[in-house]
Amino acid sequence: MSITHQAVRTKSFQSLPIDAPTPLRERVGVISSVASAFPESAYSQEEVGALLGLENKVVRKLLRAPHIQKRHLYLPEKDALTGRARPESAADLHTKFREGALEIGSRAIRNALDAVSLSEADVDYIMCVTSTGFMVPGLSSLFTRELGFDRRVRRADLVGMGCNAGLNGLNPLVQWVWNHPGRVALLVCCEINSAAYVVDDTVRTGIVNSLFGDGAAAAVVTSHAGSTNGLLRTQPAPHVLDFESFCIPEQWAAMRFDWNDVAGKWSFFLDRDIPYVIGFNIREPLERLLERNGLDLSAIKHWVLHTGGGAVIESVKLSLGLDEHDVRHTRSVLRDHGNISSGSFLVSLERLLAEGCAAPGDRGVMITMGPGAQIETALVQFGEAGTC
Amino acid sequence: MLTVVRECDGERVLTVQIDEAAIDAEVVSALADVLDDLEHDGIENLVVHFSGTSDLVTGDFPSWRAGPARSDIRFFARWEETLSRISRLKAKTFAAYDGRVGAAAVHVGLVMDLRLASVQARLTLGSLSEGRFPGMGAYWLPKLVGLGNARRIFLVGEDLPAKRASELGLVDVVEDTVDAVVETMLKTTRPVTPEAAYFTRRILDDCYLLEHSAAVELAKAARFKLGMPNREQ
Repeated sequence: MSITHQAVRTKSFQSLPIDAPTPLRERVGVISSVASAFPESAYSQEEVGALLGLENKVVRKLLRAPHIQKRHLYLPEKDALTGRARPESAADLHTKFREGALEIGSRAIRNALDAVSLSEADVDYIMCVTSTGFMVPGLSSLFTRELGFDRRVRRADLVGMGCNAGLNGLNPLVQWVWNHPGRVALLVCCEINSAAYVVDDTVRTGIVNSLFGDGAAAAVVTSHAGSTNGLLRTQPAPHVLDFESFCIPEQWAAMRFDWNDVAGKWSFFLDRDIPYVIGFNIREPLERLLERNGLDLSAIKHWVLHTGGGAVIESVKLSLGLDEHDVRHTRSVLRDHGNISSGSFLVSLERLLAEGCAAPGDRGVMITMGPGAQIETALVQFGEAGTC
Repeated sequence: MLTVVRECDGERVLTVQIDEAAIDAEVVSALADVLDDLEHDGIENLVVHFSGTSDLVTGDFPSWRAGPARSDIRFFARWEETLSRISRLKAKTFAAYDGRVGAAAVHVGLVMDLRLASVQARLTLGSLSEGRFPGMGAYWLPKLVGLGNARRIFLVGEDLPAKRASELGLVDVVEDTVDAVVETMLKTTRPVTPEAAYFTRRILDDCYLLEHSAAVELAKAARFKLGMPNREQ
């Protein structure tokens, strides 16, 4: 028997329906810089298959697919006897997560701050996002200790929300910088997906082990573009105008961690059909987001999409009528890094900004999706919001 | 430009009849409004009917004087946006040609599902030797007629009677009158859902562009959606 719980919306003190237009246009946060970092070791799909001993026929076929060319990973050294990566215990994986996250997270943070001539001491709020390791205290505390953030820095850790979580983390930062003009917020998405690998001969684990890569991305969020001496000084910075979310609760179990008693580890599961379900539900939140801002799809010039995988990209293309040019950065990030979960949309944004084709006034949309099943969207406008 | 919405076998058909000699910015704007209505109302079929005569060309591009104010650049940017939009319509799309039709009319047909013509139709794309640049026609035309034919048409020009255009693959069906061929093809494609037509068009449009594995994913996504029940059911 299945029971569906339907919450009853009671009248809120604002008496606003959930879809009511909100005066967010004035409440913009600016993504002043974006930077990413990856483990130094990169592996072809063939090398990963050989190192992990992935011999399942279906998994080997997945590894041959050309949409991922390489992934940067923290894999253990090769065992001279077996020729395969040394097996990792749950404790090994936890250590790998902590050390890997600190290494690439620190590099991403420093690069993002350097790009706008800021230091760790200038950061007022740090939000760390991860779903590939659980630590108490969390990553924000580790970075504060290791990188010299001010003791007064506000900290938040968003743990376990999956690939969509980068935008879930960005949303409160944008609100916060608006309410605290002149202050600096930092979003850090840090995923050591190889610390969530379970190596066996099943398709379930093979899908995960052939798709996800390690990577970190950081974004400096301010209430104004400010003076910069890096990439963004000559580039229009994206102003985040509004967000919209959409949950598909009937897909609750489609992406999840289960405890694998045999391996003694958490094992991630991806439903076969979820890329399509997500892809074809994406219009709903997006149209709400655009309508609320008086726009339609034709107004969007730049698309920053989560690199969920080949099937996700094609589903979104069909659903939204996008072409290859629209998804070029999403596809290239997938090709070069695999799916690096929460930070992958920031790497696509980093590439869009580096390309230098976004002009003041251009509008863009950022979309992430993940467990829940959840779709997150954000509307951005390059340059000064509302002036173009 | 005249727009009519009617019903045919339980589906709605929006017909845009274009008599204008030149598809200028005003016509492009009007066409964009029509597309807004089509999308908003979820109309299943779009017919863009270019009705020229045996003497006068309909659906050509405007001509511009060379000079510092390059309004042609802006026009063609809007024009390509409009074509791109037509190519992504979730409707069955038909271009219909009667009499002499020009380059813009042919370009519209290149992004639609089917190109239909009366026997009196003559298609003219213009050529480099006449001082006409093919623009994005050079991107779309080879997909229908092949590279060799496209090269010849754009370099030296060719006035294409309906029968010849059909032999080249530039026109799909020819009948005595344009009304007859439109009615025939509306009936023939009646079992096709607009969404299936759109997905098929997308896969076809990307067929020379996508890697095989990406095309496989595109086709799988389309197949999944076409088999997905509505959430209300």
